[in-house]
Amino acid sequence: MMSHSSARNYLLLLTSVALLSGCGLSKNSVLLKLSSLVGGGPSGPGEGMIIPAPPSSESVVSVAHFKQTYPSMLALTGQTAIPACDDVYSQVQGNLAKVGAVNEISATQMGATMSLSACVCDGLIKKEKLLSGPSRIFFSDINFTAGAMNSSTVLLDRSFQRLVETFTAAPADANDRSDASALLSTMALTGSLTVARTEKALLALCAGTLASAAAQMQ
Amino acid sequence: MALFFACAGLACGIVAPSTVAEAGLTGRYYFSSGTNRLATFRAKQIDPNVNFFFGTTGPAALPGRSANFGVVWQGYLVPSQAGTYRLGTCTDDGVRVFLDGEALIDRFQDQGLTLWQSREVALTAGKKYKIRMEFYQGGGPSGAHLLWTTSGSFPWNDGMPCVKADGQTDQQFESQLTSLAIPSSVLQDDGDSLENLQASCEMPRTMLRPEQAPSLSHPNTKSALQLFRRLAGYSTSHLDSRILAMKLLIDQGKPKEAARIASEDPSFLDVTVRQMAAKISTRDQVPTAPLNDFIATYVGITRDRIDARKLLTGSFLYRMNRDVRWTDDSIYGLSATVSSNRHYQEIENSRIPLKCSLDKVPSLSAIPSTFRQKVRDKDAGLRDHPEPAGVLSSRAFAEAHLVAGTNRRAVEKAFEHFLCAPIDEWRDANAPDERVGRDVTRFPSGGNNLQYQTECKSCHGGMDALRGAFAHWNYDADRGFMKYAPYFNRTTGNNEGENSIRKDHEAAWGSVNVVTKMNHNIDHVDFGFTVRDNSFINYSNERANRDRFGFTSNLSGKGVAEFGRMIANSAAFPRCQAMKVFQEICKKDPKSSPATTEWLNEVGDIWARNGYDMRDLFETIATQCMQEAQ
Repeated sequence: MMSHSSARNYLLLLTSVALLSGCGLSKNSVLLKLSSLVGGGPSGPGEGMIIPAPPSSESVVSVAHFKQTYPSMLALTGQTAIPACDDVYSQVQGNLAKVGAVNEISATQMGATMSLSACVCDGLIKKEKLLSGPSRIFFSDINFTAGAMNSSTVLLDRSFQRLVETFTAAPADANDRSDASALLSTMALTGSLTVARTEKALLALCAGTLASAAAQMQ
Repeated sequence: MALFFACAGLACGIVAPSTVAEAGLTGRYYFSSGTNRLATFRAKQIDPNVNFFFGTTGPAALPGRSANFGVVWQGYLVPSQAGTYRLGTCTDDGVRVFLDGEALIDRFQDQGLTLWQSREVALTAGKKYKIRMEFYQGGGPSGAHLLWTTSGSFPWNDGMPCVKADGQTDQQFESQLTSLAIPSSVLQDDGDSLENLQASCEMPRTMLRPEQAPSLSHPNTKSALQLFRRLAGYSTSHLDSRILAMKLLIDQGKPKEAARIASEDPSFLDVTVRQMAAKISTRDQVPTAPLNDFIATYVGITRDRIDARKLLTGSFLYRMNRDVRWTDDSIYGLSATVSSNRHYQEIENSRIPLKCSLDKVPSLSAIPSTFRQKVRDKDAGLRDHPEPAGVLSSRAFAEAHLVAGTNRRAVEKAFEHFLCAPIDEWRDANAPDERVGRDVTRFPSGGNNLQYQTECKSCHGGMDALRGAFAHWNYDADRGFMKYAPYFNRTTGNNEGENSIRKDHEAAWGSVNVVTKMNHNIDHVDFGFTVRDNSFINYSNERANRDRFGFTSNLSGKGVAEFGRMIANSAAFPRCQAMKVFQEICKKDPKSSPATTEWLNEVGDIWARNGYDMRDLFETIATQCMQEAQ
């Protein structure tokens, strides 16, 4: 387990691999009341169980281990099993964290996480590409037949924000968006964003965000 | 119910099972990993029949794989004509064939192309028989053929190579095998039985459109996400229909009901509960321990909401549901759990979640009844467990703590795992030492008396008095099974570890049916305690230990079952479970502060009063952590 700050460092490190970030750990406000914890429902075995509030203690996070990473990626993207990614998972499983300890973070572990997230995102893009724009969840604004930079920056940014928000349950902050914008600019400068390469840009945006989100467990 | 409101109008259905059978058997292809021949599922297809000359290229379903693979063909045999048949296999390498669950051929071993034949079986025309063939290939050329004959014999003798005869061409040989292969016309696939079982185990869920999903700016949405992650063990998004349902319940002040949605996810048992059990199931205490009878029973008790005290007192264990594997107990069932962990390995290979792959078996059965018995499938001589005590009498616990040694470790670990009391915390220098064994050096037989009085005695005084509970038990690491001394002949001078002290000492000390190691080094301290039976006395209920443990039942007894009952009924047992769940779910140290420990004690006490429902404990503590995080 590790503290928030070290988790953030890990995430930054991980996202630097993918040129992305967007995995802030946010604190929520208190809404639940103690009274809400009374009883286990009409048929629950915990009926009548009154538990007092726990004392506060330091929050910590741990890294997702191999049994958590892939299911998280699938669930976050709303997909069930993807045969091609099952294969990737079989190949990289041994390099993912085994127990979720902080000392398991390594270049190999991060590479394995990225391989898996790239595969899952590839599946997501292929799935959404088959749908009409309005039917898509993540990439409703994207014209897959045009180069990425032919979609306006605003539209790309909107897709990126949707990815970050869905995967991390938090809005992308200015730094995240700046990083994404820089990534796209770099790709454009190096000629990567030709008309046929829209998917590559989306894949980079998606895979980095997803890897960061799925690798953290709190 | 209200919680399904979120699914209203959405596609929350379960995958419908396939109803149209195809001619042929369902072939599921795996990569092997060491001796786990069916380790990683790779491909599935309908094969018209099993008549494969794989040679050195391997199956088409596994391109590029000619070695270290396995295949399971499964489906139905529907004979068109009644008669007496004999089934046969010609394979390189190993093979097993089951008909309606019965193992007709069991030769899962490295071999060249070899014929194995079954006994004769009477089959009825038009009747559907479940048929399953398991095959693996290690290295070299391979082939797999499932044959039958009504003539009573095959062209090759049982156990002999099924190769071409002198003067026979390759083509003639292949034609011969093909003519004997069970034809596709009498075979039907298994109707995606495994996949359907898998699908039926999944929770209904769907991906909402963003405009349907709960707002991420609402704190209860984040609470629902965190609650799900803590219990199910993986992350999902607010677009998951279950998160909407959970959020609505939290809105209504019903977080426990919200938690129940998350704990319905198969991953709750497969990841969260399993990991917690795995940590205490083996000697290494790692969360990645392979599935075993200890873990399966722990998970099963949680799944079925059984009183958690049965963890230490139950006369049952959990094993593979027969729907997962179309076989009887002889190969993968109860008797197979006696001498290896392969039964549980097979559950993992099946990829069916534990939620749907475990059955409760009514009695802890299956321990070998004779000395040096080679425990094999279908072996006679297995008896019901004489002292069932939940996981304490599991094979995994025995392998971890009853192997070699003097059985003190079993006591130490039972206290550590189920009362959260490492020996350093409950050692008591004032405990009586009348039951300290003869192997503990002390004055006047030697050693340092001061050291004995101040160090050794404090641990051994309490622990040795309790270890008598395990006096009948040993674990044979070489053969891989538990031994119950009363079932074994007494030894005469050797140190095999079974039944009693050496026979030449028996008259002098009168120990009968006690494993030799209990009186290890019996000549060492001749005034030390001799274990003569499986009685135990609990001296660890005095002074600080009285508050620590709060034992409520008898402080003495006989055997593991009574020992387990004593622990399970203590005040410390539920408190300890609360600590363990807190650590697993909330990712925090339960002893980080006195306030946290005190709080967990209270949670444990309340949990005990409410019936020791382990799943409920997970759900309760997860909701508490969710609250704290806000």
